[in-house]
Amino acid sequence: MTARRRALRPTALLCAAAVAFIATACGGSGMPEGPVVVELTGIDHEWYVRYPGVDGVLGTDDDRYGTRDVLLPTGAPVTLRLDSLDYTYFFRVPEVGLLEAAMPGAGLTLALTTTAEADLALDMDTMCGLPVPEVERYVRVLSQTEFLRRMSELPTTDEAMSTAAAAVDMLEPDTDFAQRLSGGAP
Amino acid sequence: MNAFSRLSRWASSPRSDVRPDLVRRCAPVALGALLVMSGCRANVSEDAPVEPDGPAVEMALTEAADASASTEAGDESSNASEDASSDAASDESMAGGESVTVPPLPTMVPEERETLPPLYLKVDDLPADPEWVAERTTAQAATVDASGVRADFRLSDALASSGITWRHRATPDGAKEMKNNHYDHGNGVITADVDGDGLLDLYFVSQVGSNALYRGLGGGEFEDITAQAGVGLDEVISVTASFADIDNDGDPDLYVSTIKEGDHLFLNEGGGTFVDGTAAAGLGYKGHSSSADFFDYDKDGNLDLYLSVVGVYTGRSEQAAAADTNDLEDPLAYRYWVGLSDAFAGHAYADRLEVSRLYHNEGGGVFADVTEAMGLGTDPSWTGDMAPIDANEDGWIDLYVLDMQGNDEYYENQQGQAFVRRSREVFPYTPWGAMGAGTLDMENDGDLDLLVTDMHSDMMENTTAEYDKLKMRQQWPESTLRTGGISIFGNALFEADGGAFADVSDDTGAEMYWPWGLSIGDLNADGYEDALISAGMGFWFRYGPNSLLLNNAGAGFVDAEFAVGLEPRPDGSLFRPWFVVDCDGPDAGNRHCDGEEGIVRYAEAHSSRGTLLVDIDQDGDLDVIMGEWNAPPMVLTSNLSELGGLNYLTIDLEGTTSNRDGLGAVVRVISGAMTQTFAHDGQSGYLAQSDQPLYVGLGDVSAADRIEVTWPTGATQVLEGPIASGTAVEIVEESASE
Repeated sequence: MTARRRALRPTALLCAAAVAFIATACGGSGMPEGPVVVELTGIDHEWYVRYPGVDGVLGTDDDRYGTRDVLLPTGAPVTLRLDSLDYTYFFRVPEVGLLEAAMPGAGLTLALTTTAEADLALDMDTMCGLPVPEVERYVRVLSQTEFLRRMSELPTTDEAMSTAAAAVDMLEPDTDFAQRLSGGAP
Repeated sequence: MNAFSRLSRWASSPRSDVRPDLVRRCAPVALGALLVMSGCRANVSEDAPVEPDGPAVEMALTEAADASASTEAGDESSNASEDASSDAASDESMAGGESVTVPPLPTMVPEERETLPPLYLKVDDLPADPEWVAERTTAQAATVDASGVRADFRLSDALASSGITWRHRATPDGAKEMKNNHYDHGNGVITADVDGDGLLDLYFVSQVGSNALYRGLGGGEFEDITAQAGVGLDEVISVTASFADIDNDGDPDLYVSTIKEGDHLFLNEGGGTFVDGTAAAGLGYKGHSSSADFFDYDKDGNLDLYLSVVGVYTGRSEQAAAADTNDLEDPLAYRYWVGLSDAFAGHAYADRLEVSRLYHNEGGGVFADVTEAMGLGTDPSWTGDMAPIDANEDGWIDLYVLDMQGNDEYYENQQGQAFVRRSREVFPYTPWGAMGAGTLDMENDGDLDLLVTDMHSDMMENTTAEYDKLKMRQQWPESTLRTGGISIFGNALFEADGGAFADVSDDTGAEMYWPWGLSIGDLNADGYEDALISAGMGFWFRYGPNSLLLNNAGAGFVDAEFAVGLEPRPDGSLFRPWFVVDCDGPDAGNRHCDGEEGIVRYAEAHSSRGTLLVDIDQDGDLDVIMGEWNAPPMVLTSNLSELGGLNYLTIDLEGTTSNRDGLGAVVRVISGAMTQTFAHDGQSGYLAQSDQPLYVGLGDVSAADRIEVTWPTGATQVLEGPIASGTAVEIVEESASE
């Protein structure tokens, strides 16, 4: 694991702790106040998505994990946290004009409120203008009930993401090269 | 249509320049700002289920994903975004105390465009040529004919007869590793008469393997003298090079930029041999160097150096690689610094900035770094090149600094004592992803205009060829742009008018697809300078033709690359082998082996980088050298001289009080009713500076009436005519007492 990846993980955990998600999932009383925080990480041309579990708090053992599509509840403020472990990716939902970058370690977020169910095509492209090919992705805005049901079906382990992350050889930017090449102190 | 649905369409659809009313409302964050507008709502899918009390599906956007990157408390990783955001937000007030109001951009009508998926091409399964190639060939012949611009000459392949056998090779980052970083920007090619025999020689730069110095033998033939000259530099990854006489001894010296291993200054000992004078000169910058531009900013008679520096786009690790990306048996014979995957967003990270350097020539071959002392230490640009121009016409060379990931910067020379940033004051809008620049007097009105090519904006949208002459209409979010949307997303032609500049690129036809650098020269010798622009990406992108913009007597450019034989390539092909992978062997984990087995050979579209306009066969017309990406160069000779009616001069300046090359001089050639104005700046193509005479087409006039040279000292020297066509004019600077 590179130093950058080591740094990213605890950072993500710390950041996730502050935002509520579902007030009382068991009681089925709907979405709580405050934004639903969902974390997207681009790894090797794929989105890996982390959701808060039924406790509504991102960064706990109850987190849920998905890949490719992004599931969102209707009628809730949502905060998408965008990150990447390799390339700079663009999160683009053309139908509604959503566009933001996922840059390694940059901590960019995208805030929105959903109001009705829909399947919205999600583009994922890198900075060279080329879409990640031959894969259809969607932002699926679900009823709150369906969203909660889908959450309960998602795994609570990040095995897929960890496997993808392990394959990434993310380089540290070489910002002290001149001193190093000159034999001076880094 | 409510307000937001209109804005949303504008934001999400491809578009060119930004509507001024929307800029005011939604800037400084082109798309991100849309999200902060209260009440902004977007109608989305007409097919979605309809709810009783509103549109089918709405996504109300209530909070900014703005240029500040919306970092949340406790997020330790946010510093880079915040720093860069701060840079963008202070665009009107940072370095140099500049504070200006930016006028609105021209209104452009948004339109939908067809975009293309990546091309996954295999050598054994290449597609047929796209229809647009034949269509453009036909159409261009008609438009050229209708324009009346002279385009009856032909460019013909002369590589085989030239004796040039060198070829460019790229690192695997630009091949099977498929990383998005600046290695894919390729390299330059330059010219000078290094051995004083009166014939121009060529220096080619490669990333992998040796650079090459070819000695001109006359008649378009060359011989490789790299080894005896000692300028191969095959142990480092080179970027580009420049020829300039830095010690005023009458022969061109050579500067070669490299990646992180240290740049090199080779001093010409005469006769075409060089010694490495880097250390003694106090040069040898170790970083991500790019072009080296020599000019005399303080008029002391010595050429100073502006070294453009891109920014940190490599990591800490080195990797062994084979030189030949198409040969699995080729040994891993060299090492390179592995590039970052996210390098094109490098400008968003403060710790990846490398500030370009200004070195003062102290005389005696010694340079001193005066970057900070001269007020350039806070320049935020990711720079590949700089154009030395006298924008305010005060006789002191100013700096137009190209930023390939942001707005360009302009620094005004304070009579050699300092540079002051006046970027937006003089150039309210600039290209966002500038790659090259050159000056020309487009209309022969005496004002030197500035043509800037923009490649990086073309990365924002992979459009079909029918949009090649239009600017990009889809842009990245402000978190990546960081210019508040206040940019030109394509080439610019800044028309000069007494120190003011206005972009007329769309009116003059200066736009094109995926340009790199440019060479300015009068290819048809009609008395109006033209622009040769290298183009194309290769990789998974479609073919992008090189561009020849013929100047139609100042009325605009006429596209002529297909009309004169610059396009298509000499063998008519659009693609070439790119790299090979062994999917059952060491490349099994490579992404290009997904779903593949055995040996797989990939192809890419041809693409070019370096350019030169130079009369290699001494027949009086300009020929073309085109540095290719991962391939041999193109050598194309013109037959203009064989067609009759060719009138031209060459002018070689020799400074005495001024620098020996006369760089910084302004030359005016008066012939009949025509006055042509040239900035003798040495700029010769993509990332390159050469030492060659000025080429002056005279059109229908067989002699020049007068030549006026305004030397860097400010003194004007006049050579009265008539000066017959074909004359190689040599002008030695007169001393004040003469």
